[in-house]
Amino acid sequence: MNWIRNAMQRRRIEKAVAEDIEAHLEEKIADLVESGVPDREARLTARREFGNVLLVAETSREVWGGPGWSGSPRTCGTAPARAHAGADLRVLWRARARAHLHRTLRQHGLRRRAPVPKRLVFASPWEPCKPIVVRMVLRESLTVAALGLVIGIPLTLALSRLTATFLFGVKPNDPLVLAAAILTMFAVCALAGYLPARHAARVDPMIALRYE
Amino acid sequence: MMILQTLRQGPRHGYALAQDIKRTSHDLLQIEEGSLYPALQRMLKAAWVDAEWGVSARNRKVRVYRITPAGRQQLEREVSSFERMLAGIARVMRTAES
Repeated sequence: MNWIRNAMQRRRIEKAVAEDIEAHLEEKIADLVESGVPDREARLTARREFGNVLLVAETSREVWGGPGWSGSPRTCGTAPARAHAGADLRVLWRARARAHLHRTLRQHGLRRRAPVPKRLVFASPWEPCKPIVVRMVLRESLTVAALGLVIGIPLTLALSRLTATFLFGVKPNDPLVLAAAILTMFAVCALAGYLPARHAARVDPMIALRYE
Repeated sequence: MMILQTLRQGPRHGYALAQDIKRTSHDLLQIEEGSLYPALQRMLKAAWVDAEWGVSARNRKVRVYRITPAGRQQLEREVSSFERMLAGIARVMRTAES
């Protein structure tokens, strides 16, 4: 249960830091606007004087644990060894997510041979780009799934005589069962693709590049 | 040290803190305001300050930081070591001049 608590605490800190920075910028913008600076310029000035928002947020969060949020020994509670193993896994997971993001960005760029990666990486804000990354990764994993089906279906049909002897009440080549199996597999593949993709998309490219 | 010192005059939110430091140093210290936040998080972790949500003068939801007794102790320690360092530098400079 420790990792759930850690994850929740991490979310809370991330949210608090983000809201804190947001409030800071808004206050500053309001101050500048009041002193007669045009709105757009006020926004730019506030951002410039603040520094790199993403970097600040990431460093603030890292204070509470490494990039993978290892948690302090105090919060590890009664099972420090297990908690640390979990922390290591999460570090790996994040590193993988970063590597994956970087790779997909690069592949995406190579495929188009245009300044796409630049646009992707330096687009501000990063939010609108996230679905692109998620879709890219999802497409990849579903392609693999489809390939598996192309191979799998004829194989299933061929072997159905054999499986019929194992299963009770299932006709060989029952279309309903077959369809259900295919659907389940697709759902699992989609989920298996979507979750890491979402994780990868959550990592900001600027931060991902900083870790390279 | 400057953050703790500023907070000793009363609880403040991040932006007010940055403004106060800038004002009292008469713009001599050009620090990126953002660097305040990792520092504040470190202080939160060390329990030198605590934070709670409040509202700013503009009625915006902000996080208000307050110095804790542990923070006051830390501030005293830091100020005394800083003063020792300053005295050391001053002595070296005087010796070098003469």
